[in-house]
Amino acid sequence: MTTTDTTRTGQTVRSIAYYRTPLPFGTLLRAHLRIWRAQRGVLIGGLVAMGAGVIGLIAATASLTGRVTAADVATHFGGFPVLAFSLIWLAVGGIAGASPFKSGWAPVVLTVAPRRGRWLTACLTSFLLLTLAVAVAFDLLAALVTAVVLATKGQGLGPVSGLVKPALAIVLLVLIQAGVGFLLGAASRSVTAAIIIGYVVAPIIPAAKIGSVDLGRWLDLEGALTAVSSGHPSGGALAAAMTAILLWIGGPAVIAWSRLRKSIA
Amino acid sequence: MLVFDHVSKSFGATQALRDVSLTVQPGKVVGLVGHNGAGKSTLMRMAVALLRPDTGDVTIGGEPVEQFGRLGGLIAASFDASTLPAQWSAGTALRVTAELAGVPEARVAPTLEMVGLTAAARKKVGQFSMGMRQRLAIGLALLAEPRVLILDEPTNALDPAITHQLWDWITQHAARGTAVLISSHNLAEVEQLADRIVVMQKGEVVRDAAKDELLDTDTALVRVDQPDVLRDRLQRHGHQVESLPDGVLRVTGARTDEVGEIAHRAGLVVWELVEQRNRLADIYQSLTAEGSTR
Repeated sequence: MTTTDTTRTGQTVRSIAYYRTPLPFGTLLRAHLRIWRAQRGVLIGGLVAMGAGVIGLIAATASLTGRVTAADVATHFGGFPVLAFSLIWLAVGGIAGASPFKSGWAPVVLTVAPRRGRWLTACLTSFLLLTLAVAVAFDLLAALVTAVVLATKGQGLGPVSGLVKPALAIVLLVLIQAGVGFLLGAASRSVTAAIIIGYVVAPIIPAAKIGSVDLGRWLDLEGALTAVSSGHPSGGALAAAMTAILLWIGGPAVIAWSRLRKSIA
Repeated sequence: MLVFDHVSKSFGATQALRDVSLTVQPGKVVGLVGHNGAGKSTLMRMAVALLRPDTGDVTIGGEPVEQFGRLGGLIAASFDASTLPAQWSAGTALRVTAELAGVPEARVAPTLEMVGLTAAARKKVGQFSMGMRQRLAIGLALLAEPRVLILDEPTNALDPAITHQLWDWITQHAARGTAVLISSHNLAEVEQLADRIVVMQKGEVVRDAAKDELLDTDTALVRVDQPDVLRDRLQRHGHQVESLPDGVLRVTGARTDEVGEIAHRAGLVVWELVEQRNRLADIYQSLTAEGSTR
Protein backbone atom coordinates (compact mmCIF):
# COMPACT_ATOMS: atom_id res chain seq x y z
CA MET A 1 0.00 0.00 0.00
CA THR A 2 1.24 3.42 -0.86
CA THR A 3 1.63 6.34 1.46
CA THR A 4 1.00 8.94 -1.23
CA ASP A 5 -1.62 9.24 -3.92
CA THR A 6 -0.66 7.37 -7.08
CA THR A 7 -2.53 6.31 -10.18
CA ARG A 8 -3.73 2.86 -11.06
CA THR A 9 -5.20 2.10 -14.46
CA GLY A 10 -5.89 5.78 -14.95
CA GLN A 11 -7.62 6.18 -11.59
CA THR A 12 -6.32 7.99 -8.56
CA VAL A 13 -5.34 5.56 -5.84
CA ARG A 14 -5.46 7.26 -2.48
CA SER A 15 -2.87 6.83 0.22
CA ILE A 16 -3.81 4.85 3.31
CA ALA A 17 -3.71 8.10 5.33
CA TYR A 18 -6.65 9.38 3.27
CA TYR A 19 -8.86 6.58 4.56
CA ARG A 20 -8.09 7.42 8.18
CA THR A 21 -9.90 10.74 7.89
CA PRO A 22 -13.64 10.43 8.51
CA LEU A 23 -16.14 11.26 5.81
CA PRO A 24 -17.18 14.92 5.88
CA PHE A 25 -20.34 15.28 7.95
CA GLY A 26 -21.99 17.14 5.05
CA THR A 27 -21.50 14.11 2.80
CA LEU A 28 -23.09 11.86 5.40
CA LEU A 29 -26.01 14.28 5.75
CA ARG A 30 -26.58 14.45 1.98
CA ALA A 31 -26.51 10.66 1.70
CA HIS A 32 -28.98 10.31 4.54
CA LEU A 33 -31.37 12.89 3.13
CA ARG A 34 -31.40 10.70 0.00
CA ILE A 35 -32.03 7.66 2.19
CA TRP A 36 -34.99 9.25 3.98
CA ARG A 37 -36.55 10.00 0.61
CA ALA A 38 -36.40 6.29 -0.13
CA GLN A 39 -37.74 5.16 3.26
CA ARG A 40 -41.48 5.16 2.73
CA GLY A 41 -42.40 4.94 6.44
CA VAL A 42 -40.80 8.29 7.22
CA LEU A 43 -42.31 9.95 4.15
CA ILE A 44 -45.77 8.63 4.94
CA GLY A 45 -45.38 9.66 8.60
CA GLY A 46 -44.52 13.21 7.56
CA LEU A 47 -47.50 13.36 5.21
CA VAL A 48 -49.89 11.99 7.86
CA ALA A 49 -48.65 14.59 10.36
CA MET A 50 -49.16 17.30 7.79
CA GLY A 51 -52.65 15.98 6.99
CA ALA A 52 -53.60 15.91 10.66
CA GLY A 53 -52.22 19.41 11.07
CA VAL A 54 -54.27 20.66 8.11
CA ILE A 55 -57.43 19.19 9.70
CA GLY A 56 -56.49 21.04 12.89
CA LEU A 57 -56.05 24.26 10.90
CA ILE A 58 -59.45 23.88 9.27
CA ALA A 59 -61.04 23.34 12.68
CA ALA A 60 -59.22 26.36 14.10
CA THR A 61 -60.23 28.52 11.13
CA ALA A 62 -63.87 27.54 11.48
CA SER A 63 -63.83 28.58 15.11
CA LEU A 64 -62.56 32.09 14.37
CA THR A 65 -65.69 34.19 14.43
CA GLY A 66 -66.20 37.92 14.66
CA ARG A 67 -63.26 40.31 14.76
CA VAL A 68 -60.03 38.36 15.09
CA THR A 69 -57.19 39.52 17.36
CA ALA A 70 -53.62 38.26 17.72
CA ALA A 71 -54.65 36.62 20.99
CA ASP A 72 -57.46 34.76 19.20
CA VAL A 73 -55.03 33.51 16.59
CA ALA A 74 -52.57 32.38 19.28
CA THR A 75 -55.29 30.56 21.21
CA HIS A 76 -56.98 28.88 18.26
CA PHE A 77 -53.88 27.85 16.38
CA GLY A 78 -51.90 27.01 19.50
CA GLY A 79 -54.48 24.44 20.59
CA PHE A 80 -55.91 21.71 18.37
CA PRO A 81 -53.73 22.30 15.28
CA VAL A 82 -50.54 21.97 17.35
CA LEU A 83 -51.82 18.82 19.03
CA ALA A 84 -52.97 17.26 15.74
CA PHE A 85 -49.74 18.05 13.92
CA SER A 86 -47.38 16.98 16.69
CA LEU A 87 -49.13 13.83 17.91
CA ILE A 88 -47.57 11.41 15.46
CA TRP A 89 -43.94 12.53 15.57
CA LEU A 90 -42.91 10.12 18.33
CA ALA A 91 -44.04 7.29 16.04
CA VAL A 92 -42.39 8.79 12.95
CA GLY A 93 -39.18 9.13 14.95
CA GLY A 94 -39.49 5.51 16.09
CA ILE A 95 -39.92 4.36 12.49
CA ALA A 96 -36.87 6.40 11.43
CA GLY A 97 -34.69 5.25 14.33
CA ALA A 98 -35.44 1.57 13.84
CA SER A 99 -35.29 1.62 10.04
CA PRO A 100 -31.49 1.26 9.56
CA PHE A 101 -31.67 -2.01 11.46
CA LYS A 102 -35.11 -3.28 10.43
CA SER A 103 -34.76 -2.34 6.77
CA GLY A 104 -31.16 -3.50 6.60
CA TRP A 105 -29.54 -0.33 5.33
CA ALA A 106 -27.17 0.19 8.27
CA PRO A 107 -24.62 -2.30 6.85
CA VAL A 108 -24.87 -0.73 3.39
CA VAL A 109 -23.80 2.63 4.85
CA LEU A 110 -21.35 1.35 7.46
CA THR A 111 -19.34 -0.72 4.98
CA VAL A 112 -18.48 2.61 3.32
CA ALA A 113 -18.61 4.99 6.31
CA PRO A 114 -17.48 2.88 9.28
CA ARG A 115 -17.49 5.46 12.12
CA ARG A 116 -20.62 4.40 13.96
CA GLY A 117 -21.07 7.38 16.28
CA ARG A 118 -20.71 9.77 13.39
CA TRP A 119 -23.16 7.73 11.36
CA LEU A 120 -25.81 7.70 14.10
CA THR A 121 -25.39 11.44 14.61
CA ALA A 122 -25.74 12.09 10.88
CA CYS A 123 -28.75 9.82 10.75
CA LEU A 124 -30.48 11.69 13.59
CA THR A 125 -29.45 15.13 12.35
CA SER A 126 -30.68 14.52 8.82
CA PHE A 127 -33.98 13.19 10.16
CA LEU A 128 -34.37 16.23 12.41
CA LEU A 129 -33.60 18.52 9.46
CA LEU A 130 -36.44 16.92 7.54
CA THR A 131 -38.70 17.19 10.58
CA LEU A 132 -37.77 20.85 10.91
CA ALA A 133 -38.57 21.42 7.25
CA VAL A 134 -42.02 19.84 7.65
CA ALA A 135 -42.69 21.81 10.86
CA VAL A 136 -41.67 25.08 9.21
CA ALA A 137 -43.84 24.22 6.19
CA PHE A 138 -46.76 23.67 8.56
CA ASP A 139 -46.09 27.00 10.28
CA LEU A 140 -46.02 28.77 6.92
CA LEU A 141 -49.27 27.04 5.96
CA ALA A 142 -50.83 28.20 9.24
CA ALA A 143 -49.68 31.76 8.52
CA LEU A 144 -51.14 31.57 5.02
CA VAL A 145 -54.46 30.23 6.28
CA THR A 146 -54.61 32.94 8.95
CA ALA A 147 -53.85 35.62 6.38
CA VAL A 148 -56.60 34.32 4.10
CA VAL A 149 -59.11 34.23 6.98
CA LEU A 150 -58.19 37.78 7.94
CA ALA A 151 -58.45 38.95 4.32
CA THR A 152 -61.93 37.42 3.95
CA LYS A 153 -62.98 39.29 7.05
CA GLY A 154 -61.57 42.51 5.62
CA GLN A 155 -59.01 42.77 8.43
CA GLY A 156 -55.33 43.69 8.22
CA LEU A 157 -52.54 41.12 8.71
CA GLY A 158 -51.60 42.36 12.18
CA PRO A 159 -53.17 39.43 14.11
CA VAL A 160 -50.90 36.99 12.22
CA SER A 161 -48.28 37.95 14.81
CA GLY A 162 -50.30 35.82 17.23
CA LEU A 163 -48.85 32.79 15.43
CA VAL A 164 -45.24 33.43 16.42
CA LYS A 165 -45.40 31.66 19.77
CA PRO A 166 -47.43 28.65 18.60
CA ALA A 167 -45.16 28.39 15.55
CA LEU A 168 -42.01 28.27 17.67
CA ALA A 169 -43.68 25.88 20.10
CA ILE A 170 -44.60 23.55 17.21
CA VAL A 171 -41.03 23.47 15.93
CA LEU A 172 -39.60 22.79 19.38
CA LEU A 173 -42.27 20.26 20.32
CA VAL A 174 -42.01 18.33 17.09
CA LEU A 175 -38.21 18.29 17.13
CA ILE A 176 -38.18 16.94 20.71
CA GLN A 177 -40.82 14.31 19.96
CA ALA A 178 -39.15 13.24 16.72
CA GLY A 179 -35.74 13.11 18.41
CA VAL A 180 -36.97 11.09 21.38
CA GLY A 181 -38.89 8.76 19.04
CA PHE A 182 -35.81 8.31 16.85
CA LEU A 183 -33.60 7.46 19.81
CA LEU A 184 -36.21 5.05 21.22
CA GLY A 185 -36.33 3.36 17.80
CA ALA A 186 -32.55 3.22 17.51
CA ALA A 187 -32.20 1.90 21.07
CA SER A 188 -34.89 -0.78 20.77
CA ARG A 189 -34.39 -1.39 17.03
CA SER A 190 -38.14 -1.95 16.95
CA VAL A 191 -40.90 0.39 15.81
CA THR A 192 -43.43 -1.40 18.03
CA ALA A 193 -41.24 -1.07 21.12
CA ALA A 194 -40.60 2.61 20.39
CA ILE A 195 -44.32 3.30 19.99
CA ILE A 196 -45.26 1.39 23.17
CA ILE A 197 -42.55 3.14 25.19
CA GLY A 198 -43.43 6.55 23.75
CA TYR A 199 -47.22 6.38 23.90
CA VAL A 200 -47.92 3.88 26.71
CA VAL A 201 -44.97 3.70 29.11
CA ALA A 202 -44.07 7.41 29.05
CA PRO A 203 -47.56 8.57 30.14
CA ILE A 204 -47.64 5.97 32.96
CA ILE A 205 -44.26 6.94 34.39
CA PRO A 206 -45.42 10.20 36.03
CA ALA A 207 -47.36 8.05 38.51
CA ALA A 208 -44.08 6.46 39.68
CA LYS A 209 -43.22 7.10 43.31
CA ILE A 210 -40.56 5.68 45.56
CA GLY A 211 -41.70 6.20 49.14
CA SER A 212 -42.62 9.84 49.45
CA VAL A 213 -40.35 10.93 46.57
CA ASP A 214 -42.27 12.07 43.50
CA LEU A 215 -39.98 10.63 40.84
CA GLY A 216 -42.58 10.85 38.14
CA ARG A 217 -42.37 14.63 38.01
CA TRP A 218 -38.77 14.40 36.82
CA LEU A 219 -39.54 11.73 34.24
CA ASP A 220 -42.78 13.15 32.90
CA LEU A 221 -42.13 13.49 29.17
CA GLU A 222 -45.69 14.37 28.33
CA GLY A 223 -45.79 17.03 31.04
CA ALA A 224 -42.49 18.41 29.80
CA LEU A 225 -43.76 18.59 26.24
CA THR A 226 -46.94 20.29 27.38
CA ALA A 227 -44.84 22.80 29.32
CA VAL A 228 -42.72 23.45 26.24
CA SER A 229 -45.73 23.86 23.94
CA SER A 230 -47.55 26.13 26.37
CA GLY A 231 -44.76 28.64 26.27
CA HIS A 232 -43.21 29.69 29.53
CA PRO A 233 -42.35 26.99 32.06
CA SER A 234 -40.31 28.49 34.89
CA GLY A 235 -38.63 27.62 38.17
CA GLY A 236 -39.27 24.06 39.38
CA ALA A 237 -41.51 23.29 36.41
CA LEU A 238 -38.78 24.30 33.99
CA ALA A 239 -36.19 22.21 35.87
CA ALA A 240 -38.48 19.18 35.88
CA ALA A 241 -39.32 19.62 32.18
CA MET A 242 -35.66 19.98 31.21
CA THR A 243 -34.68 16.98 33.33
CA ALA A 244 -37.40 14.81 31.80
CA ILE A 245 -36.47 15.81 28.27
CA LEU A 246 -32.75 15.25 28.88
CA LEU A 247 -33.41 11.85 30.47
CA TRP A 248 -35.69 10.80 27.63
CA ILE A 249 -33.06 11.86 25.12
CA GLY A 250 -29.96 10.78 27.06
CA GLY A 251 -31.24 7.38 28.19
CA PRO A 252 -32.19 6.03 24.77
CA ALA A 253 -29.11 7.68 23.24
CA VAL A 254 -26.79 5.83 25.63
CA ILE A 255 -28.57 2.52 24.98
CA ALA A 256 -28.58 3.09 21.20
CA TRP A 257 -24.87 3.92 21.20
CA SER A 258 -23.99 0.99 23.43
CA ARG A 259 -25.91 -1.46 21.21
CA LEU A 260 -24.40 0.06 18.11
CA ARG A 261 -20.88 -0.44 19.44
CA LYS A 262 -21.60 -4.12 19.99
CA SER A 263 -23.37 -4.97 16.77
CA ILE A 264 -25.27 -3.51 13.87
CA ALA A 265 -27.42 -6.51 13.05
CA MET B 1 -2.86 -6.17 1.67
CA LEU B 2 -5.59 -7.51 3.96
CA VAL B 3 -4.29 -9.32 7.04
CA PHE B 4 -6.15 -11.22 9.74
CA ASP B 5 -3.69 -11.69 12.57
CA HIS B 6 -4.61 -14.25 15.27
CA VAL B 7 -8.24 -13.23 15.21
CA SER B 8 -10.75 -14.74 17.63
CA LYS B 9 -14.42 -13.94 18.11
CA SER B 10 -17.17 -15.34 20.32
CA PHE B 11 -20.90 -14.75 20.34
CA GLY B 12 -21.95 -15.61 23.86
CA ALA B 13 -20.87 -19.18 24.48
CA THR B 14 -20.28 -19.86 20.78
CA GLN B 15 -16.71 -19.49 19.59
CA ALA B 16 -17.12 -18.27 16.00
CA LEU B 17 -13.43 -17.79 15.24
CA ARG B 18 -10.42 -19.24 16.98
CA ASP B 19 -6.98 -17.74 16.39
CA VAL B 20 -7.42 -17.25 12.64
CA SER B 21 -4.51 -15.84 10.68
CA LEU B 22 -4.80 -15.20 6.98
CA THR B 23 -3.34 -12.84 4.39
CA VAL B 24 -4.83 -11.65 1.11
CA GLN B 25 -2.13 -10.21 -1.15
CA PRO B 26 -2.80 -7.57 -3.82
CA GLY B 27 -3.59 -9.17 -7.16
CA LYS B 28 -4.45 -12.52 -5.58
CA VAL B 29 -7.74 -14.30 -5.09
CA VAL B 30 -8.11 -16.19 -1.83
CA GLY B 31 -10.93 -18.72 -1.73
CA LEU B 32 -12.54 -19.41 1.61
CA VAL B 33 -14.37 -22.72 1.93
CA GLY B 34 -16.05 -24.41 4.86
CA HIS B 35 -19.37 -25.73 6.06
CA ASN B 36 -22.13 -23.36 7.22
CA GLY B 37 -21.10 -21.96 10.60
CA ALA B 38 -17.39 -22.44 9.92
CA GLY B 39 -16.79 -18.73 10.54
CA LYS B 40 -16.34 -17.50 6.97
CA SER B 41 -18.93 -14.71 7.07
CA THR B 42 -17.82 -13.61 10.54
CA LEU B 43 -14.27 -13.29 9.26
CA MET B 44 -15.36 -11.38 6.18
CA ARG B 45 -17.52 -8.98 8.19
CA MET B 46 -14.46 -8.14 10.28
CA ALA B 47 -12.64 -6.98 7.14
CA VAL B 48 -15.06 -4.05 6.78
CA ALA B 49 -15.33 -3.41 10.54
CA LEU B 50 -18.95 -4.60 10.75
CA LEU B 51 -17.70 -6.92 13.47
CA ARG B 52 -14.76 -6.44 15.79
CA PRO B 53 -12.49 -9.25 16.89
CA ASP B 54 -12.32 -10.09 20.61
CA THR B 55 -8.61 -10.62 20.19
CA GLY B 56 -6.23 -10.18 17.28
CA ASP B 57 -6.09 -7.57 14.55
CA VAL B 58 -7.51 -7.04 11.10
CA THR B 59 -5.40 -4.65 9.05
CA ILE B 60 -5.28 -3.20 5.56
CA GLY B 61 -1.93 -1.80 4.49
CA GLY B 62 -0.77 -2.19 8.09
CA GLU B 63 -3.60 -0.05 9.52
CA PRO B 64 -6.27 -1.57 11.76
CA VAL B 65 -9.59 -1.46 9.90
CA GLU B 66 -11.42 0.07 12.87
CA GLN B 67 -9.20 3.16 12.53
CA PHE B 68 -10.48 3.96 9.07
CA GLY B 69 -12.96 6.79 8.68
CA ARG B 70 -13.97 5.90 5.12
CA LEU B 71 -13.69 2.71 3.13
CA GLY B 72 -14.99 3.62 -0.34
CA GLY B 73 -12.33 2.73 -2.90
CA LEU B 74 -10.25 0.90 -0.33
CA ILE B 75 -12.37 -2.12 0.48
CA ALA B 76 -15.87 -3.20 -0.49
CA ALA B 77 -17.95 -6.20 0.37
CA SER B 78 -20.93 -8.14 -0.88
CA PHE B 79 -22.72 -10.03 1.87
CA ASP B 80 -26.09 -11.73 2.16
CA ALA B 81 -28.04 -10.07 -0.66
CA SER B 82 -31.38 -11.02 0.89
CA THR B 83 -30.86 -8.34 3.55
CA LEU B 84 -30.53 -5.40 1.14
CA PRO B 85 -33.05 -2.65 1.97
CA ALA B 86 -36.34 -3.67 0.36
CA GLN B 87 -37.71 -0.13 0.07
CA TRP B 88 -34.76 1.18 -1.90
CA SER B 89 -34.50 1.03 -5.64
CA ALA B 90 -31.30 -0.29 -7.23
CA GLY B 91 -30.55 3.26 -8.36
CA THR B 92 -30.96 4.63 -4.82
CA ALA B 93 -28.67 1.98 -3.37
CA LEU B 94 -25.96 2.73 -5.91
CA ARG B 95 -26.34 6.50 -5.63
CA VAL B 96 -26.15 6.42 -1.82
CA THR B 97 -23.04 4.25 -2.01
CA ALA B 98 -21.53 6.48 -4.69
CA GLU B 99 -22.14 9.58 -2.58
CA LEU B 100 -20.52 8.00 0.48
CA ALA B 101 -17.64 6.48 -1.47
CA GLY B 102 -16.84 9.73 -3.28
CA VAL B 103 -17.59 8.12 -6.65
CA PRO B 104 -19.06 10.37 -9.39
CA GLU B 105 -22.77 9.67 -9.85
CA ALA B 106 -22.02 9.18 -13.54
CA ARG B 107 -20.63 5.76 -12.66
CA VAL B 108 -24.00 4.53 -11.38
CA ALA B 109 -25.50 3.95 -14.84
CA PRO B 110 -22.55 1.90 -16.18
CA THR B 111 -22.57 -0.17 -12.99
CA LEU B 112 -26.28 -0.89 -13.38
CA GLU B 113 -25.62 -1.89 -16.97
CA MET B 114 -22.68 -4.06 -15.96
CA VAL B 115 -24.82 -6.10 -13.56
CA GLY B 116 -27.77 -6.15 -15.94
CA LEU B 117 -30.11 -4.04 -13.83
CA THR B 118 -30.58 -0.97 -16.05
CA ALA B 119 -34.21 -1.86 -16.80
CA ALA B 120 -34.87 -2.46 -13.10
CA ALA B 121 -33.05 0.66 -11.83
CA ARG B 122 -36.25 2.23 -10.43
CA LYS B 123 -37.77 -0.98 -9.17
CA LYS B 124 -37.81 -1.59 -5.41
CA VAL B 125 -35.32 -4.16 -4.17
CA GLY B 126 -38.23 -5.85 -2.38
CA GLN B 127 -39.61 -6.79 -5.80
CA PHE B 128 -36.29 -8.25 -6.97
CA SER B 129 -35.62 -11.94 -7.42
CA MET B 130 -32.76 -13.36 -5.36
CA GLY B 131 -30.55 -13.33 -8.45
CA MET B 132 -31.25 -9.64 -9.06
CA ARG B 133 -30.48 -8.83 -5.42
CA GLN B 134 -27.22 -10.72 -5.73
CA ARG B 135 -26.32 -8.75 -8.84
CA LEU B 136 -27.09 -5.50 -7.04
CA ALA B 137 -24.91 -6.54 -4.10
CA ILE B 138 -22.08 -7.25 -6.52
CA GLY B 139 -22.65 -3.91 -8.26
CA LEU B 140 -22.45 -2.11 -4.91
CA ALA B 141 -19.18 -3.88 -4.14
CA LEU B 142 -17.59 -3.11 -7.51
CA LEU B 143 -18.87 0.48 -7.82
CA ALA B 144 -15.89 2.23 -6.22
CA GLU B 145 -13.22 -0.05 -7.77
CA PRO B 146 -11.92 -1.16 -4.35
CA ARG B 147 -8.40 -2.34 -3.70
CA VAL B 148 -9.71 -5.14 -1.51
CA LEU B 149 -12.85 -6.99 -2.54
CA ILE B 150 -14.80 -9.23 -0.18
CA LEU B 151 -17.38 -11.51 -1.77
CA ASP B 152 -19.41 -13.75 0.51
CA GLU B 153 -21.03 -16.48 -1.58
CA PRO B 154 -21.47 -14.10 -4.53
CA THR B 155 -22.82 -16.62 -7.03
CA ASN B 156 -25.71 -17.82 -4.86
CA ALA B 157 -28.85 -17.68 -7.01
CA LEU B 158 -26.98 -16.34 -10.04
CA ASP B 159 -27.68 -17.87 -13.42
CA PRO B 160 -24.73 -19.49 -15.26
CA ALA B 161 -24.24 -16.57 -17.66
CA ILE B 162 -23.93 -13.97 -14.90
CA THR B 163 -21.83 -16.38 -12.83
CA HIS B 164 -19.28 -16.61 -15.62
CA GLN B 165 -19.39 -12.85 -16.05
CA LEU B 166 -18.69 -12.45 -12.34
CA TRP B 167 -15.76 -14.82 -12.60
CA ASP B 168 -14.40 -12.62 -15.42
CA TRP B 169 -14.85 -9.47 -13.32
CA ILE B 170 -13.05 -11.07 -10.40
CA THR B 171 -10.18 -12.20 -12.62
CA GLN B 172 -9.95 -8.74 -14.21
CA HIS B 173 -9.94 -6.98 -10.84
CA ALA B 174 -7.24 -9.31 -9.51
CA ALA B 175 -5.19 -8.69 -12.66
CA ARG B 176 -5.40 -4.95 -11.89
CA GLY B 177 -4.01 -5.57 -8.41
CA THR B 178 -7.17 -5.97 -6.33
CA ALA B 179 -6.90 -8.35 -3.39
CA VAL B 180 -9.97 -10.62 -3.47
CA LEU B 181 -11.35 -12.73 -0.65
CA ILE B 182 -14.22 -14.92 -1.84
CA SER B 183 -16.21 -17.54 0.01
CA SER B 184 -18.31 -20.13 -1.74
CA HIS B 185 -19.89 -23.52 -1.30
CA ASN B 186 -19.26 -24.07 -5.00
CA LEU B 187 -15.88 -25.77 -4.80
CA ALA B 188 -15.46 -25.87 -8.57
CA GLU B 189 -15.81 -22.08 -8.56
CA VAL B 190 -13.17 -21.66 -5.87
CA GLU B 191 -10.92 -24.13 -7.68
CA GLN B 192 -11.25 -22.08 -10.85
CA LEU B 193 -10.81 -18.61 -9.36
CA ALA B 194 -8.55 -18.84 -6.33
CA ASP B 195 -4.80 -18.54 -6.22
CA ARG B 196 -4.87 -19.60 -2.62
CA ILE B 197 -7.40 -21.76 -0.82
CA VAL B 198 -8.26 -21.59 2.86
CA VAL B 199 -10.37 -24.34 4.39
CA MET B 200 -12.18 -23.43 7.61
CA GLN B 201 -13.91 -25.67 10.09
CA LYS B 202 -15.55 -24.74 13.37
CA GLY B 203 -13.92 -21.32 13.45
CA GLU B 204 -10.43 -22.53 12.66
CA VAL B 205 -8.28 -22.61 9.56
CA VAL B 206 -7.58 -26.26 8.86
CA ARG B 207 -5.66 -25.69 5.62
CA ASP B 208 -4.19 -22.61 3.99
CA ALA B 209 -2.21 -23.32 0.86
CA ALA B 210 -1.52 -22.11 -2.66
CA LYS B 211 -3.94 -23.76 -5.05
CA ASP B 212 -1.19 -25.48 -7.02
CA GLU B 213 0.35 -26.82 -3.84
CA LEU B 214 -3.02 -28.15 -2.77
CA LEU B 215 -4.17 -29.64 -6.05
CA ASP B 216 -0.98 -30.63 -7.87
CA THR B 217 0.14 -34.22 -7.68
CA ASP B 218 3.00 -36.22 -9.11
CA THR B 219 0.58 -38.47 -10.94
CA ALA B 220 0.22 -38.55 -14.72
CA LEU B 221 -2.23 -40.27 -17.03
CA VAL B 222 -0.77 -41.44 -20.33
CA ARG B 223 -2.09 -43.29 -23.39
CA VAL B 224 0.37 -44.58 -25.99
CA ASP B 225 0.32 -46.98 -28.92
CA GLN B 226 2.14 -49.72 -26.93
CA PRO B 227 1.17 -49.45 -23.25
CA ASP B 228 3.02 -52.63 -22.21
CA VAL B 229 6.33 -51.25 -23.48
CA LEU B 230 5.86 -47.96 -21.67
CA ARG B 231 4.78 -49.69 -18.47
CA ASP B 232 7.98 -51.74 -18.54
CA ARG B 233 10.16 -48.67 -19.12
CA LEU B 234 8.45 -46.65 -16.41
CA GLN B 235 8.75 -49.43 -13.86
CA ARG B 236 12.44 -49.72 -14.67
CA HIS B 237 12.71 -46.02 -13.75
CA GLY B 238 11.15 -46.84 -10.39
CA HIS B 239 7.68 -45.41 -11.07
CA GLN B 240 4.50 -47.07 -9.93
CA VAL B 241 2.24 -47.85 -12.90
CA GLU B 242 -1.38 -48.90 -12.88
CA SER B 243 -3.29 -50.01 -15.98
CA LEU B 244 -6.69 -48.40 -16.51
CA PRO B 245 -9.33 -49.19 -19.15
CA ASP B 246 -8.74 -48.08 -22.77
CA GLY B 247 -4.99 -48.58 -22.48
CA VAL B 248 -4.51 -45.64 -20.10
CA LEU B 249 -1.63 -45.90 -17.64
CA ARG B 250 -1.68 -44.05 -14.31
CA VAL B 251 1.90 -43.23 -13.36
CA THR B 252 2.62 -42.25 -9.79
CA GLY B 253 5.88 -40.55 -8.82
CA ALA B 254 6.51 -38.93 -12.19
CA ARG B 255 5.63 -35.59 -13.71
CA THR B 256 4.21 -35.40 -17.22
CA ASP B 257 7.43 -34.11 -18.78
CA GLU B 258 9.37 -37.07 -17.39
CA VAL B 259 6.78 -39.57 -18.66
CA GLY B 260 6.79 -37.90 -22.06
CA GLU B 261 10.55 -38.11 -22.29
CA ILE B 262 10.61 -41.84 -21.42
CA ALA B 263 7.89 -42.53 -24.01
CA HIS B 264 9.80 -40.50 -26.60
CA ARG B 265 13.06 -42.38 -25.94
CA ALA B 266 11.17 -45.65 -26.34
CA GLY B 267 9.92 -44.45 -29.73
CA LEU B 268 6.28 -44.62 -28.68
CA VAL B 269 3.44 -42.54 -30.07
CA VAL B 270 1.86 -40.54 -27.27
CA TRP B 271 -1.87 -40.09 -27.80
CA GLU B 272 -2.65 -38.46 -24.48
CA LEU B 273 -0.59 -37.23 -21.56
CA VAL B 274 -2.11 -35.25 -18.71
CA GLU B 275 -1.34 -34.50 -15.10
CA GLN B 276 -3.87 -36.00 -12.75
CA ARG B 277 -4.79 -33.24 -10.29
CA ASN B 278 -6.45 -33.57 -6.94
CA ARG B 279 -9.98 -32.31 -6.81
CA LEU B 280 -10.72 -29.66 -4.24
CA ALA B 281 -13.94 -31.47 -3.40
CA ASP B 282 -11.97 -34.57 -2.31
CA ILE B 283 -9.46 -32.54 -0.30
CA TYR B 284 -12.24 -30.54 1.30
CA GLN B 285 -14.10 -33.71 2.18
CA SER B 286 -11.08 -35.25 3.85
CA LEU B 287 -10.17 -32.04 5.72
CA THR B 288 -13.62 -31.34 7.03
CA ALA B 289 -14.74 -34.88 7.70
CA GLU B 290 -15.81 -35.34 11.31
CA GLY B 291 -12.80 -36.30 13.46
CA SER B 292 -10.24 -35.20 10.91
CA THR B 293 -7.10 -33.53 12.20
CA ARG B 294 -4.89 -30.90 10.65
